[in-house]
Amino acid sequence: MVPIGHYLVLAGTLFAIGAAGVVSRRNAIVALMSIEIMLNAAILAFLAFARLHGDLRGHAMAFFVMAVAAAEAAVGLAIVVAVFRRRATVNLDELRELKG
Amino acid sequence: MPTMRTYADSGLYLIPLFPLIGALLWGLFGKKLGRTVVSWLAPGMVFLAASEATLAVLRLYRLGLKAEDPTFIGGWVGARLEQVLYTWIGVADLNLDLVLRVDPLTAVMLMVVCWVSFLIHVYSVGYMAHDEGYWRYFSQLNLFVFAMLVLVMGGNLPVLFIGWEGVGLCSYLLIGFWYQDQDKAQAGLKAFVVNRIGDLGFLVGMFALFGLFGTLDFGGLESAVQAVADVDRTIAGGLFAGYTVRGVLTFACIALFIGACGKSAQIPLHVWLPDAMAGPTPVSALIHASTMVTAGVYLCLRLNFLFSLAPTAMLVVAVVGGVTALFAATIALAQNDIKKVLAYSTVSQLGYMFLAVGVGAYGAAIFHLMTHAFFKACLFLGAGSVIHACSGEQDLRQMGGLHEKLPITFWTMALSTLAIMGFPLFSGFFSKDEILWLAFASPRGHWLLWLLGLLAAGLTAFYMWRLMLMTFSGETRGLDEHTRTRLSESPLSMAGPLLALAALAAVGGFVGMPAYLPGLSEWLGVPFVNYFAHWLDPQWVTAAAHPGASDLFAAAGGAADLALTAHGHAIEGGLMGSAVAVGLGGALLAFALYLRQPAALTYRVPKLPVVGGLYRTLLNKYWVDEVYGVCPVGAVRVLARFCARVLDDIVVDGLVTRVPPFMLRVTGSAVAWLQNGDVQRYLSFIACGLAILLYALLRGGGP
Amino acid sequence: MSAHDLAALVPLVILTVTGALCLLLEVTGVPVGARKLAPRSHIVWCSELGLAATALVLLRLFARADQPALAFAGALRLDRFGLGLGLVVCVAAALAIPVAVGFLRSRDLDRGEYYATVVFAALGMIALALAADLVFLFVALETTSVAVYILAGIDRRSSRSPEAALKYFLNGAFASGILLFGVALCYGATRSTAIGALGPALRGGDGALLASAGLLLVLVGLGFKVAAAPFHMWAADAYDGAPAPASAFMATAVKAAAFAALIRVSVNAQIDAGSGWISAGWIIAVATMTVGNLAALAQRRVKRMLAYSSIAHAGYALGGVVAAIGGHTPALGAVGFYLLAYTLMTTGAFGVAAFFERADGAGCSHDEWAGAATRFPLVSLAMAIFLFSLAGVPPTAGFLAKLNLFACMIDGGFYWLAFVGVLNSLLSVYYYLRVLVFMYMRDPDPQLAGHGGAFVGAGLAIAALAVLLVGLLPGTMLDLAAQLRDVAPG
Repeated sequence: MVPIGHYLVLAGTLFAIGAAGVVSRRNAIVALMSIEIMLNAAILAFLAFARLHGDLRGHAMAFFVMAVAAAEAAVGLAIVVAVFRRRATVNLDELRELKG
Repeated sequence: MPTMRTYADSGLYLIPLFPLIGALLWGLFGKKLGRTVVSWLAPGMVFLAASEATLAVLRLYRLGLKAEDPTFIGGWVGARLEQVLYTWIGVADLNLDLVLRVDPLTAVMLMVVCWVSFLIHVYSVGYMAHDEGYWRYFSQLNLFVFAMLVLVMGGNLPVLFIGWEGVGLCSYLLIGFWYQDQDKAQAGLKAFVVNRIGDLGFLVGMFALFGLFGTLDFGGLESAVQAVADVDRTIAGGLFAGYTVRGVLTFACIALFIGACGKSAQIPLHVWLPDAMAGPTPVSALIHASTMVTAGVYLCLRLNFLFSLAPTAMLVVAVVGGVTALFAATIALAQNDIKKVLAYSTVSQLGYMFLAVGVGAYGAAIFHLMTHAFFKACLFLGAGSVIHACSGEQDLRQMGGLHEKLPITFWTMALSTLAIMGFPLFSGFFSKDEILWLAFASPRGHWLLWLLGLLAAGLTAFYMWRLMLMTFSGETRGLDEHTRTRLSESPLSMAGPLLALAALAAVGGFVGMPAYLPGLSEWLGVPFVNYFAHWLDPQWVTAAAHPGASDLFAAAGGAADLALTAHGHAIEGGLMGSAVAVGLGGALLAFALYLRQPAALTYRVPKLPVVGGLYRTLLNKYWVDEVYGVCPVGAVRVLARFCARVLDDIVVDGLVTRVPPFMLRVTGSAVAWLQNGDVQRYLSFIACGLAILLYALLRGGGP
Repeated sequence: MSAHDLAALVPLVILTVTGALCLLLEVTGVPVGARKLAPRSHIVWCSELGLAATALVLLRLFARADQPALAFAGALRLDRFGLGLGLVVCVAAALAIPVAVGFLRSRDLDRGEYYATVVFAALGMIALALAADLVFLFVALETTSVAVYILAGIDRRSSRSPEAALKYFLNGAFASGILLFGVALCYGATRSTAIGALGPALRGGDGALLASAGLLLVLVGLGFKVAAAPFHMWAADAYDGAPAPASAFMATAVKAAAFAALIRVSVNAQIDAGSGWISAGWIIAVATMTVGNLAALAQRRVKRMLAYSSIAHAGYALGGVVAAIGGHTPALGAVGFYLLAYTLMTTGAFGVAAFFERADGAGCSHDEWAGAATRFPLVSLAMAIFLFSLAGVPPTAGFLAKLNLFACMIDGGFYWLAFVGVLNSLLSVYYYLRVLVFMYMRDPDPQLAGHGGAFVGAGLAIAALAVLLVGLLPGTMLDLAAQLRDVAPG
């Protein structure tokens, strides 16, 4: 059996990769995908702990998170589309009208 | 005699509510409602308030009688009606309620304020009929009544202070009612500024009391005072450590008296009241003669149980009051503006009231307050009627011979003049006589104080008859042809209040007939009872029962009578006689000098050698305004210029104008750098913040 | 299903139905009875009625909540603290809807979707205020967030609104990810997702470090929602770019609900007074108020100034939270009262911004507001009241709320926090009153226009009167606030 530590390290790494992606990638769609990676890292941690505790709540939580992530992605994509329609770009660097 | 019991009463809020509704209605919708509606409902609101107040007083009367002896003479112990409207702050050490309370003292004030206000509202309907700002006027007048009712009904000092500031605000607004006139607006400002000086005293006194007793509720203060058995005890700890209770009380009372001086125009803060005559005459009658200016007296009476324990403070009050009474009366001798004469007369009469407070004659003070409200309101309204008839002319030298054209005005003013000069059996006679007698005979009185009052009484008779004769007798002197032909009596709405007030001025004193009236009581064979004093007796019980004031009150039996045993009825009768004689003397002198040629003297006197100089001094009010112009005002101006130069140029301009641009540039560029619009910069800040916190957590090795 | 479950369900069901009705009314068209009203007034009324009904139910529950109860197997906790802040959310939503109407009509955004979204967001927020379980907290938070992202971007034809929404979304989703990971760690450490389980886990045992890491991540996620420095930077862009009426709602209701969750989690963690958590907390509080105030000083747009000012106010409230974490229970009520006052005055101030705002964020700068007092005296008067209250001048709600809050910090032993808070609020007077200088002492700008109407007028008037009333007669509110003291586990 794989020790819990391994799962946690994997989850932490995934989380860091996702976070780094959101912070560094200029394309809004990629940033959105990176956020999904962060959420998946959390799901992985939930599942690992569920297995460790022998407890079903972690599994249930995974479903909750998937549903929420779907809703979030839908709204996020809609916002990106709205931005693209008005500004003809999804490059985060170019969205700097609001500042100061 | 126990202190009064307190009863909850759910109807008290209605009394100030009606005028408040009125003020809001006329202020917001006056124009839409139209003149007719306002004309009926503005006095109507005050009438409703007055009716509610009367009902409350009747309830108070019923509750204040002993169950075993429900008669006024035998069983009157007094009571308090109380309504807590709202608890502002209710934490352990500070309990501040919005509370209304009616006790015998408030009841007298309520009756005076409500009914005099009602009459003056009715009068105003006629007087202001053609004014542009009709709605504004009634809105402010209603608001004034509201504030005055809050003042007299407030159950603790902060509520009283709200009313106090409220009446000050209305006074300011109404003095400057015709604000397009620069001088009139200026007069409003002067009243405002002088009153602020007084308010500072009020606040200091209030904080001192709070520091001493930890409460500002009148009932709470009374119990706190009762709990202090020995007022000369040194306070151990806290704000006033090392002082005696009496010392702190003296300080607080003098501070509060400074506030009272501001509101009630006593020396040296009297200068605003004569200028306040710039407002419409009914305003002068209501605010600057019968109600608001008496608030200072009311404050001292309300806190009588504190003043009684501070003889030094009372001495200050008595001296200031006595000197003001005489000082203002002398100025009134030489004034030629009909309203200015009455204004100085008011200052002088308020001086009498403070004299009474200062010698411990609390009942006499409020009695004079009441009779003064009647006759002075009547005199002012009469003056307003004269001014109205003379198309705005206020100079006595231009008038004359008006008694045929204005018979009602003449006769009502004549009755009031008899009252103010203390003509026997008129209202002012009883009240002024009581003050003079007690100024002489009270344990805290002195024959010098009595003499001040006596001289002022003579002068009062003189200047009032001078005013009457210059206005009504002889030939009409100055008015232009058009005004002369149109001279006529005022409409009924103005004449009615005049008649009512004159009647009160004439007979209103009988409620407070002294127990001893030379000859009369023997002749009638019945002992007199001073109903008025009897009504108020429960109010002074706390002070009378306190060992710290035993020199002032006869401790025997705990009755709230002043210790007058040292003097007999013979002396009382003698003093009464001398007061009447002096008054009559002053009046006769006025008749001798002014009956034939009313105005001639005013032109001839200034040319006389010594008298002329004196006259000019009086005419110019002892140059007090000029002195103030040099000393406090000038000094303040210099200070202001200094501030403008140094503080403003260097500190404000330097720090605020120069540094903020610098600071704004720095923060502006910092913000522009931080918030450069790049969303990923924001995200990295979140990530960095998180990283730092995580690092700190791991470094610390857990929670 | 217990009685408590039902009780907890009622407000949430009312809001769900209300939101659905708002959407439905948009589709079905105007009912016969409402033909004479202005277009879509019936939807406004529908949402307002729903919120009023919710508020009444919450009040009823508040009155009966002297014994706090758990509902739905510990997912929600019906206590006065959560219900009180739920009421604040209702107030925020009920005020933000009418002040929005004028602006929405002028931009042709006056659709059922807007009102439904506000109502759904309020639903999420009330759930968030009551959440006693981390899973439920996360779902409630996401319900709130997703709805609010939509509101920020509702003005799709503007160039600013979608940008604000995207920035808000990216930051928000990032923070949600952090929070969720924190929840996972907490779950791992305690084998439970109940907030109440955190405290014991932190006290020691194997999972202590895991639990504290989880707690930290959850708190950072919530700190983002209340715009605590350094997680605050999105707020300026989001509140400035979003349509002003949406900002009015976001800056108040979201904050109230997020503060509720933040307090519930942090107080339940039973952190030792004197530990590093407290130091970190007050450093963040001081940083938040200072950064917000300094940035607000430099602003030339009223709306952006208000955005920074909302950050500064979050800093003051965080100070109260720190005092509460430090064990000074009355601070809970003080924060609650503060959030109510803040909601009234900030909704009002953003409402006035909505009154003046035009396409693409125009009409919201100091210069454009020059001389507004001569042309719009009543609106300017209302703005003056809001600004005085924000600056903490008596006799307004803002003054009392600040006084109460700072007093609590001092009682709790956080003298420096109170001192910095007072300094900061003195600093803030400058930029609040600067707006009034423009409005009252400059020559009028003829370009300035406003979109009034009965709803806007009523909303602003009610907010202004409430600010004054709470300031003048605070007794009742302070009494109620004093009852918000119980968030303990159980």
